Amino acid sequence: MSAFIPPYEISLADGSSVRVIDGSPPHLLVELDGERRTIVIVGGRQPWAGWRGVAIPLGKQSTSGSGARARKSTGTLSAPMPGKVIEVLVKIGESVARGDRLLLIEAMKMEMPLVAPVDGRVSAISVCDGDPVTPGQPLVQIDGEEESDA
Amino acid sequence: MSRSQWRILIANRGEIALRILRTVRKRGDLALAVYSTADRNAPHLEYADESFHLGPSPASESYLSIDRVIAAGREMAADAVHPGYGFLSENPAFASAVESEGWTFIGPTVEQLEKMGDKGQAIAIADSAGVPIIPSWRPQEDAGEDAWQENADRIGFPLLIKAVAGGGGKGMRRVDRACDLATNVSIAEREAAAAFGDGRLFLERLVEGARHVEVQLVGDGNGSALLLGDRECSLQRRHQKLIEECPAPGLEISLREEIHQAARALAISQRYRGAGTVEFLLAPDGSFYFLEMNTRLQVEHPVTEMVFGVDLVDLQIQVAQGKTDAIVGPEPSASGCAIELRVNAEDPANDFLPAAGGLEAVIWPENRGIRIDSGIVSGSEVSHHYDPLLAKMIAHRPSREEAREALVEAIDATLVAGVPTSLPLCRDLLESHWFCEGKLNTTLVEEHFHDWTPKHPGERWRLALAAIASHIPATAEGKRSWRPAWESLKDWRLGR
Repeated sequence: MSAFIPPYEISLADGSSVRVIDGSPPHLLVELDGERRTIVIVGGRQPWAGWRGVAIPLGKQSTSGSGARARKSTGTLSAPMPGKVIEVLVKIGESVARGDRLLLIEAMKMEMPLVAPVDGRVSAISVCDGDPVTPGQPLVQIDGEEESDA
Repeated sequence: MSRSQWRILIANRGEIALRILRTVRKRGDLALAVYSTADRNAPHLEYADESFHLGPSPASESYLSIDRVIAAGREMAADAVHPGYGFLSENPAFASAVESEGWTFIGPTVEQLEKMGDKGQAIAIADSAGVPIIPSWRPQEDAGEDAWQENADRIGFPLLIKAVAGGGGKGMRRVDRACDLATNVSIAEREAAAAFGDGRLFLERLVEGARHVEVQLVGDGNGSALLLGDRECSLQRRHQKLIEECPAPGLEISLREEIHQAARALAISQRYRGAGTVEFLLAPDGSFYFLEMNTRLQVEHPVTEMVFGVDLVDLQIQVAQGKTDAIVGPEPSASGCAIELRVNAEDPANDFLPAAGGLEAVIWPENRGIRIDSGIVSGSEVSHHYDPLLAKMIAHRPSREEAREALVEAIDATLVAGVPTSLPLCRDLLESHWFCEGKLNTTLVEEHFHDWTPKHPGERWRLALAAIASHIPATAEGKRSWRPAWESLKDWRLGR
């Protein structure tokens, strides 16, 4: 998975969202509930956050969903070629089905829709209307429907 | 010394070994590193021209062993030894052993190390150089009650009754009124006799609410000394500094000048050679007293370097080579304010208990104009064998408030994961009204932060942090984290 380029939003379990305003990992400027903070985030097998000087270990499970043991399939939509976003067609938290149109981009003087790679809920959007995009840049993240732990 | 390239043995470890190494290499000299078994993968070895294994991990068998360090110097054909701070840096026997090998000790003379290392002698020297010392009185065996009363009045109240054989606060009694003296003396006498088998006492003025202010000097060994301003180091725990700054805030010009002149007089009276620091207690009423002289580079030297735009290690080496142009020339001028904080592997919420273990992630701020003097990288092991100091973060800005803000923001952009650190406490200290107003004293941390605990993110922030982390790819943060610390030093002389 390649990294999102700020600004982007990520949905939380309760349906609200956190905004990543600026920076690139491991340094990010983040806004939550109107409070802006510089944080440090390290991904990987053991993710860590640096928060006001305290090192916080983060469990790996948890973008959304309450069941810690729920398995999910996740999909990231990336830009296939250089171009410009004409319109973002979905919102954070919205349910989408595989093949649904997520955004329109203009590339090589053509307008084309980009579609959802999996069923699920939109968990992150890293572009706005009018943003230029480069090949491979992640645009929208979809967290797949949870499969029950049966 | 006409030789073009010196082979300089750095008899230390951690951040200070790297700090010295940087200057040695910049000068074009050769850096010879030493290490213990625990430090076999330490970052300072990576940048050294040569390195030598001293011995097992305990300091007494490695960095504190004169024999082994001398053996390392022989093996690597050293011309000179830089001792850093701590370990053997103020040990006259070590300096003497270095000189017996025909090498140069980058520091003061053996005699100066001996004199200043003996607290009683150092105070006597300061006194005769006209430096104010804490008023005290050591009675004769047969001193009567009148003599006690008379000398107590001379010293003034409140005063402390201390045991000659004492230490660590034992056998110490505070007396606020003259009429309480006699009773307390007899109690203290009994206590001291019981605790130390020695009932002898002395009296000393109690300096309440004092600040710790110190003056940086570099002497040429011929009676000249370069004075590089002062530092405020009042924020301490257990007599170990946590946050230091240059210059000391809010000193009246005349008082600052008086303190500087006292320090200079002491250095000149000794024809002091090399970098040294004269430490003072500064009372709220503006009186100040000699504490001690540190005959070495100090942990907090970077704040002085930033404000004066000098390289103290380079000056030390120049003096050691007999090049004293920089010392006798015009004094560099001060610019702005620099604040340093110490990143210690310790738990400030648990009586500053030192911590050991593996560092799972080390991330420093980038592109924020912060100087990082670090001895750690992601994956480093923090050993219980050594001092808990891992690294220092230094902000230099035109004003104190800007430096303070920059350092707070830098803490937010820092991650040291794997052991508890002093970072969150330093953040709260920097944000406290005491720090903002420059109202500091040496007991502030103990008085107001003894039941301190770190602020943790609330449930919403935890959720958000985890969500963000799950959208971050597993980057190779391990290798990257080292470079900024090293690279940032290339431009620290620019000021910011």
